[in-house]
Amino acid sequence: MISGAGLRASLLRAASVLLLASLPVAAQEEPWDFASLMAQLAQVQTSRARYSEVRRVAVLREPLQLSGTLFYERPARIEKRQTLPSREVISVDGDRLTVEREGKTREVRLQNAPLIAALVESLRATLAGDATELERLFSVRVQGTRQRWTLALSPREVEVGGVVKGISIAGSGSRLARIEILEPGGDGSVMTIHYDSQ
Amino acid sequence: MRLHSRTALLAWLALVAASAWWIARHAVFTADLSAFLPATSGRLERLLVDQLREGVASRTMLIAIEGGAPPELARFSRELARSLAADRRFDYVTNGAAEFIQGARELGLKHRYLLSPTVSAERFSEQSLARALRENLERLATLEGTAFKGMLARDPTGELRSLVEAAGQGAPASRHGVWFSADGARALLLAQTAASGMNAMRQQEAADAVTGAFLRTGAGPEYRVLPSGPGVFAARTRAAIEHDTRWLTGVAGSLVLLILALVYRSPGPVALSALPVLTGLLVGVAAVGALFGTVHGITLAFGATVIGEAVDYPSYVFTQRKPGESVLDILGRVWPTLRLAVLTTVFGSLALLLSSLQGLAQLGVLSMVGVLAAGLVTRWVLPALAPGRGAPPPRSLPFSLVRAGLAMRRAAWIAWVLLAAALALIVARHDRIWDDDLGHLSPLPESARALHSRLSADLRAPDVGYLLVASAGSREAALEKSEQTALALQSWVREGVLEGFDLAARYLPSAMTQERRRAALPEARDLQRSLERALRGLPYRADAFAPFERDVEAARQGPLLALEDLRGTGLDLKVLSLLAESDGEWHALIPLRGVRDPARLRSLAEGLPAEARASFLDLKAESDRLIGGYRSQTLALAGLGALAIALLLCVGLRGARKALQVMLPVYAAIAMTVACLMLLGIGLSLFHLVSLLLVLGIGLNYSLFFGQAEPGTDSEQGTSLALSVCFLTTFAAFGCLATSRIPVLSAIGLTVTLGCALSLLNSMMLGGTAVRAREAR
Repeated sequence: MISGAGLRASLLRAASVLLLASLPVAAQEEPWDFASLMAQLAQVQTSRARYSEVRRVAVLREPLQLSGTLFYERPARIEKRQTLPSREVISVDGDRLTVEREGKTREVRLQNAPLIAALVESLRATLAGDATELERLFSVRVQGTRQRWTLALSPREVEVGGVVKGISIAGSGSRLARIEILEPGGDGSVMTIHYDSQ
Repeated sequence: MRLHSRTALLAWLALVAASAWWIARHAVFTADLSAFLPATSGRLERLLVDQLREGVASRTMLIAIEGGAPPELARFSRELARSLAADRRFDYVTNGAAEFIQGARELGLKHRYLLSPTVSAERFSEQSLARALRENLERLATLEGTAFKGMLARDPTGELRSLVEAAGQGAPASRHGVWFSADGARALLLAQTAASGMNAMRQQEAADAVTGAFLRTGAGPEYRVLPSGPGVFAARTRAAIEHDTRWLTGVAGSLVLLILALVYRSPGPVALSALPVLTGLLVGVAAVGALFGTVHGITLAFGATVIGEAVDYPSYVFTQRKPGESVLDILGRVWPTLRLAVLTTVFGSLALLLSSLQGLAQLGVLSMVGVLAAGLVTRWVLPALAPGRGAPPPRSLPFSLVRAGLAMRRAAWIAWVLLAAALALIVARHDRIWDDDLGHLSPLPESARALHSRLSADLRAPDVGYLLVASAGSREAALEKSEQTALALQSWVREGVLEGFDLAARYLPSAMTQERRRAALPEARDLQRSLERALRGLPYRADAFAPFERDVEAARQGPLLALEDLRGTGLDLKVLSLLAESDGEWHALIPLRGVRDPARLRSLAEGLPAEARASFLDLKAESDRLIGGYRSQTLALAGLGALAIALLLCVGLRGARKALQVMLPVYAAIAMTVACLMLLGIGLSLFHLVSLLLVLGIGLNYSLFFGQAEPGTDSEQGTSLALSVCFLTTFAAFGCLATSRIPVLSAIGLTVTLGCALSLLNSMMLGGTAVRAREAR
């Protein structure tokens, strides 16, 4: 997609990269903000990782333990393969999300499903370093340093906000380490991400 | 001024003043088209008329916003929906946004055990509960878990979910939380106007309200709001007709004035020419108002057309003025013929009074009273007001129509051949004369209808065309019956006969069904025991489903859902619009969507068992049939009117032969006009028929006056001029209408212009003449 916004984002990204490159090695002291984080993330072409997730649900005695793999490929493809406790493959490409479960495939258009879109984009747009998309869906706040940052997202749309209070993503450099989703009722989940190779 | 002319003048002033006062004080004008739909006796027909007039489909407005990217469109959609929701001109508005479905959702949650079709005793057994809980556990670990989790503790059996899914099946696509067309180009809203779809005036206000509210959202000029629907169409039709009528009337009026001024060479007669017809219209409208209470816009429009012949009355008088003659002197000669001319129209309209259609009966009264009043004004008031003997005589013509007519008589065989050909054509194609599809007379461009069907498809609105109707003695019984019908419909949906349907019982099930569902709910102790056992071996907290137990018990002890409970959710309006009462009988209306084979559906519906029996209504076909009935009634009454005219002429002219000679040219002209229209590929509608009534009135006048003109006398010159003036003014006025792009107006214009020209020619070629009458003596 070549839209004005996309172009602006690319220019911004390019400018940030140039800015980063021109700065002395004293990267630790550089001001770390949303634009810098996005620019950093935008350099990643593909990434693959394992995840384990702990999901707290009020009606359950113990939290659910989920695990599987994550895959991202620029510009807009992610795949989440859950292997435990049950197999489920969610793949998103562009606007199209497919869920494979028990041999059945279901398709969802993200634009028709605001809640799912918000959950997907919190991961995908972050991986993509897509500042425009993230800011469209969430109000964003970045804290920390390049080596140890957190990105806090709170949904803009009321309907999404009723189900997801906030998402907090922690990472280092261009890698995500932990995604925490907070829900209004006290439920929530924490996903920890492990990269196999350094 | 002599005494009796003063009396006449005073009487006229009193009548005009009384009529004007009455109209100003009491007359109610309505643009409701339904007076022109028959008040038929069949219950389904009455229901159909009600549906066309007040029904859901007639009041539904589809609104699209386009011209930008989805997020902006969605924002404008929300703002527009909010402001329309607060507007009294709308009963209901929704764009699919949460705020508009929130009430319905809460209602569904609260009453899910009475509403859900899946509720049964088996569903609360230990086995079923255990299965549901295991499925829920798996679902928690999936993507959708986040969304559905909130309801889990209250609704582990998923009743709300099945309700939402059932509602979602017929829902349009949505983006950014509001309805959109599938391609994202248009944001969509659905509104129900408070006014009937046939009330063009209030529909216009509603459409204006949409445009106004949209402007207030601050959308830039690149954004457009497009309201559509039967009501919008009615309003636009009216506006288009008014626009064309206004300027065409202006042009036609100027032309007529110009002709009259050229002929009379003095302003007095020109001004007086309008007096009879205006008086006629005023008195006629007052009479209709007094007799019927309301005057329908269409009566007014048609009535003005039909009494248009009264414009000619003064012409028949003023054109015959000889030097030094007063109007009273002229009337002494002309009045016997003019009286007959007036009475033929009065007698012709008499039959319309018998019509069971109020619109047609009104038209009869208006034209009868109007023409009579115009005739009386011509006879008694004009002499009192017209210039005296000193007025200049009218311009004389360089030719004589009467002599021309006598010359053309040698070519009368042409008229006979044409008449024979016309009759042959009419007989040969008698089954294709009529066009009862009112849509063909619609002045709306094809693009407006195309947009409407696109929006209907996007919004998954029910087809306006097809309905099933389950009828019974009470509301409850009708609901129960429709629930049975729905069971059959569901299987037809699965078979692909149709895509879907709407049903009042979906939002308000019959008390019987609600009671059955309530009775299926387990007692608290039993539910607790089943639940405890079902939870064994599962990782749920022991007390996790207490909210579920509470809700089931509340539903079991609680009252049934009533219509009042639906208030404020928009669902009450929906239910009411799907239930109709007429004559103590209740009807559950089931609008159908995506009907592929209406004939198949009709036969399936006929095969339903008695307890699920519902009548299949094809609104379009039925309304065409009703219009057809209206048309044949008009035709039968016109025939009766013709008989009355014939009798009148026999008496008035003292002889059947003379009466025949007067009528023949006119009826021949009508036959030829019909044949011409057929050759032009125009199917005859109601509007053509009403125009032909005018042709009959005007044509008979031509024929009457032509018949009494003696060549070589003063009456030759006078009649020649009178007929020329009358024809030219009619031709100018209706010729203007014929050029209109609006089918209704051009239909009237073309028919009258053609009919009058042919009437004049036929009167010359075929009519009786004074010469022939003398020869026969």
